[in-house]
Amino acid sequence: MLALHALWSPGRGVCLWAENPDLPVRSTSRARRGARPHPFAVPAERLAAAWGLAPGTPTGIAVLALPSDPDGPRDSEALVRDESWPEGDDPVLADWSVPVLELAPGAPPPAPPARTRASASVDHLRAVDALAADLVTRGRLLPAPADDGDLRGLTWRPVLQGPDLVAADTLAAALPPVCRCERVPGEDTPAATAVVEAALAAAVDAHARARLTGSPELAAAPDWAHALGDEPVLGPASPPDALVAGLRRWAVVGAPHAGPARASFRLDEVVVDGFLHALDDPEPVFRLTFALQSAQDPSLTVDAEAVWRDPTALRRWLDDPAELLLGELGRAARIYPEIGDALRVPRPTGLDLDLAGAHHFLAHVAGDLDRAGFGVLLPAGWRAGPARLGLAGAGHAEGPEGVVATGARIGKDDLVDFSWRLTVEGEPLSDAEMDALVRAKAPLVRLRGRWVAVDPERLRDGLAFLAERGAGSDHPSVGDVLHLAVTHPDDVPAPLPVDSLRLDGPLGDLLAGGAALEPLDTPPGVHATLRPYQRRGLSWLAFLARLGLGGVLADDMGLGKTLQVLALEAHERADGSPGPTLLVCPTSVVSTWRREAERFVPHLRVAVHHGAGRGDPGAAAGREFDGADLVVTSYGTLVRDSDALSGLAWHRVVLDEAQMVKNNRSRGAKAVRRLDAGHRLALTGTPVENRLAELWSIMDAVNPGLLGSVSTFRERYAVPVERHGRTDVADDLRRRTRPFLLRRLKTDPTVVDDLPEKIETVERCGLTTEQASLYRVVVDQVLEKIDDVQPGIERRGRVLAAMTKLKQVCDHPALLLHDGSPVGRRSGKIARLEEILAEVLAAGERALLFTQFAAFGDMLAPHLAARFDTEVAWLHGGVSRRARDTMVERFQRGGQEGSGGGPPLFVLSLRAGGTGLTLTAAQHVVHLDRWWNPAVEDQATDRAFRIGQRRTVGVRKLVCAGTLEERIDDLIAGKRALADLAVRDGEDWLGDLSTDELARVLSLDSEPDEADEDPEEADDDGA
Amino acid sequence: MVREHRSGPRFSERFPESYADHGKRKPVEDGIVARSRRGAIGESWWSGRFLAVLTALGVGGRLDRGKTYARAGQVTDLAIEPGAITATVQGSRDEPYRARIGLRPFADEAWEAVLDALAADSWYAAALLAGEVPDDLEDVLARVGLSLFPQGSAELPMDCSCPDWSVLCKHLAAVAYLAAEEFDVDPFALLRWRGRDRATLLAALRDRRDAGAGTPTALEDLLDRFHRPCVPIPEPVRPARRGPAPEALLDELPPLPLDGGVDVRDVLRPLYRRLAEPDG
Repeated sequence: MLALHALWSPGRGVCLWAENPDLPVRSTSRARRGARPHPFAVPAERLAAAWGLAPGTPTGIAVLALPSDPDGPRDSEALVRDESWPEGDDPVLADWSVPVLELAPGAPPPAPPARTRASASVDHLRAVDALAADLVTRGRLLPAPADDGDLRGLTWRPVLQGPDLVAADTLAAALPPVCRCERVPGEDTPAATAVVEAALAAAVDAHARARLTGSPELAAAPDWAHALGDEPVLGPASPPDALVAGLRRWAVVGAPHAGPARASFRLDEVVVDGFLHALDDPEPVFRLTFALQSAQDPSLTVDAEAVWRDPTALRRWLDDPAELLLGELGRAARIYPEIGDALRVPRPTGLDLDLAGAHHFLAHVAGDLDRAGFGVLLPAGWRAGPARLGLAGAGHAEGPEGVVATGARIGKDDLVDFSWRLTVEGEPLSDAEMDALVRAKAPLVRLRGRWVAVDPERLRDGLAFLAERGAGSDHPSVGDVLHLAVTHPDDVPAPLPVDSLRLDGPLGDLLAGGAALEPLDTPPGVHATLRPYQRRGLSWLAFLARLGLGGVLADDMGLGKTLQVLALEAHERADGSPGPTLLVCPTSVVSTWRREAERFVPHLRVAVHHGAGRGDPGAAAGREFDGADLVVTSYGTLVRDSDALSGLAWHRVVLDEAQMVKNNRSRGAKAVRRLDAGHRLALTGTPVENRLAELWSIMDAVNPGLLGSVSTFRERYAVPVERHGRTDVADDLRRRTRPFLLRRLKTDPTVVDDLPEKIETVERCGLTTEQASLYRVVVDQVLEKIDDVQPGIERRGRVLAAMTKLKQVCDHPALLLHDGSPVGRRSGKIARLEEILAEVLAAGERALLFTQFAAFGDMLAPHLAARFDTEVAWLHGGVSRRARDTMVERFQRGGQEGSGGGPPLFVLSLRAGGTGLTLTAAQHVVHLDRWWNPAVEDQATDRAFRIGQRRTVGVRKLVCAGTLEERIDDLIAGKRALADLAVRDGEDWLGDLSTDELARVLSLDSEPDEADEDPEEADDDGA
Repeated sequence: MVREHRSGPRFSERFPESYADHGKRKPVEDGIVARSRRGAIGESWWSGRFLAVLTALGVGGRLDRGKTYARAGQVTDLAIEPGAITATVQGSRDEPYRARIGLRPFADEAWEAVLDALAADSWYAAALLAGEVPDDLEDVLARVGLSLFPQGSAELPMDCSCPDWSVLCKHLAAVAYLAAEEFDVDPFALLRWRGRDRATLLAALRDRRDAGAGTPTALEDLLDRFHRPCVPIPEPVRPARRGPAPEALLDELPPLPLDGGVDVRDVLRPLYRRLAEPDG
């Protein structure tokens, strides 16, 4: 097998030659003068073929000084012979004439062909060429005047700075001597640096010219620039003198330099025999290597060994590399005296450290050195300074049978099989790692292949904690563990912060957020089909209830919080009654709750404890509300009847619209706290997790004390999050409250697929006392007069007029009275509307409000604008076409992402806005008053629900409880006997009803709401 | 006229300082003002040792007067040279005094021995380069029979052209304080006083270091590794990095306009972008 070699000939560039093991070993030449022919060099005529080159490649003879015995050159190491030849004494240099291939200027040795062996000389000159190609690609080259003889040309010169300079110097240090062994009469053997420089310059020039030749860029350049491409030498007139002079100035900028440098220290684990020490090896060995690092380019470092090895080469870029290094080391020794000990040799290169030494360095020294301006290099993943120690708890709950229990079986007092582990930087340590840490002489542990130092005192505390509550010996209850999960680290009775708590099974799902729990089936007796996310919500509610932990169900409005709570009540009552649940809600939805309960869970016994006719609270409570399952009351009533209601042991208290208790000093909140309940639940549609004070109040209402006092909460969470924008603190709070707070958005992927395109709900509102008495007056009048009138057009007309009046009363008394009096708090419907809109606006969403009374719109639009301090559009029959288009356009554009602006609320008269418009920016439609024909309402609803609407649209129809509106709604929704009439257009059919029928339809069957409703407001007034 | 002070306690007894010290010092422009404004001068242990030698000879108030002089900037032209510290001190007379503190330099042969010892242990050079006289340097010197600091007044000939006959006049004291401050910031100054300046010293250390280091360069010395790289050949091809723009180097260069106003850099820019595309 041929051995291939390359060398740099100062006159010719790269030359190639080869040895053939089959040729004679010894020279027959007896010549004593001059060079003898190399006996086993491949002859010139075979050389191109040996190298796999074209036959025409120029050849020549080079005289090479090679290590030789008296009668022949020594074999190179690349040459393998069948029989080894005994070598004589020490070799001497002798000259041999060797046939060589002369490559084109700047050309590298080709890749060695198969079935040959290339020596390091070939690899080296190819490496030089690779560096040259890389320099050209990165533009690290400059044109320079060619200074060969009289010819005035240009040449490309490498610009060696920073890491490139070090790469070139390393190449020079690596240059095999054979690469520079050509004897040229009258010249000294060139230094390695000179050879690498020359080879690099030739290769850079060759690569650059090759890339430019034939390129459009060069074609477009002035004549002189062609001297940088395909025409190395131009005529005597070019390049211009100014150019030559200018390029000489440029050469100064391109001169080699690496800039100022500093000492750097690199800590490595010493690899012995190719292997890292085993994990349990008591004494791994570390080495701290001294180096010089460029201050400008930290990637450029030169080990001290290189500084000592070739002191001259480095002086090209640093004036006194050795003095600089020593001075820096002397400075560093003040910080780290061990360095001083390592300097007690002529050429210090580093410092060996044992485990304790490495720990000391990592834990203390590295940071000090870094702060003092020295470079510190650690392997990836290692870190300077002590690592953060913590604890990780993991466990699973045992059911009563000793098997992993399902969520439905786990109780608050069940024990959890729990174990603690130490964590480093949040990563739990394995048993082996813990053992190694305990046994090691220094608290330095190898973790996933990297070394981290830990604070010995903290480690001792942590180990003591583990010894006390070690694996298997700790059996906290489920309640304890969940409490631990939400406790702020400062309050946890452990010496180290708890990094993570991992629980298997349903408890783990709960900690991760309730949405992961196994969904429960729709309980028997519930007349609805729960959607999958509602079944997960039910599962979460039921699990929390079993654990006796309070929860906040904060689903987006329209996702059916009411249904989930009713389903929970039904679920718990499947096997007997756990006692009554008290549901506290705003007055405006008291009747809605009753209705919904009757509709979805008919067998649930519901008592409404509200309104003037509620009777003696003490007596009612004494009778336990006659065995009711669900007692619905309002916040106002709760405050008023606080003594009676808190005397009862409630199965559960549910706080609907729980933002009502956000002020924890309000009377409502105080009354809530007085209630004695086995379980507490809050419902809210507002994004409480972003309003920290509100979150605390609601959490505290359902889990008293869970988040600590309001002042520590403010200090730990509210101030850092709200004032300093600390997202990490916000994340931490979210993590801690996650088990107790379930909020799904309509846009959640897990929810959105379950959702219909529109969710229609009928919102029942109460009447104020004023509305109720007005309503009765109108009914009495119409029934009185109508008796005399025969059926026919007139009777019909009178009935319809009366109905219109009644609907106006339901909207607002002022519509009937025409007194222009202020809106005030005279309408239960407006009160409910305001609650709905508050949620809509809080979510940043938009709503369409349809009414059939222009006068109501006139009144409502300015009222809502003032109430919510926002723009409210109002479209009625009197609006010009152009103004209408502008309104629609602004509403739609305002709904686009990030645009802001535009009115979020749009009041439309049913007649003017019911058809033809596209208002898909709205996610909510509210029908303020009922139109008897559902088709007309649907048509209006479709304004928001058209092609282009990608979100679920919530459609609400406001109906005053106990009034004509509700009865009509029952007729339409219930598809009873009269339902077919409803499909007829208009309201004619009502006029044909008998007086008795009419009386049943029209008369009021409801108590008015009380005006002193809002406990917040009552308190605020007092404050 | 320069008088040589010959130290001896009797001198100062015979000529109490109050006798010789009269008149006020004249203010000096551009004098060397002591950096220390109050308290002790000479923070490092080595300048402290130097001053201690003087303190051993001096008497009370004179040293303090010298401190005041040093702080007032009465000294000009302080020079620490092999064998002598010289300075000009403005006293109360118009003509400033010439003050000189002599110290015998080490002999050349002694220096060779010292340098051999220092070169064998780079701690000494490292400490000196870091601005510190290593505390065990004296041990090294002791081994070759030398001492860094003068052992007593006999080794420390001092003279001043002032009329004060006391053993240590305030002018010399001022010079000594300023020299001590110089030693604080440049420990090499102490060695220069002993005969080797920094450059010479470092060059000598470098020669000694290089002599035993490095790779031989002559082919004759490399016969055992003639075909081998002396250190590993660096990785030949680096992965293409997303570095600065290929023509970034041109932005570092001064403009080079040719006739017609074309800047050579602008001619080269498109060529550099072409160069960034590797060989097809």
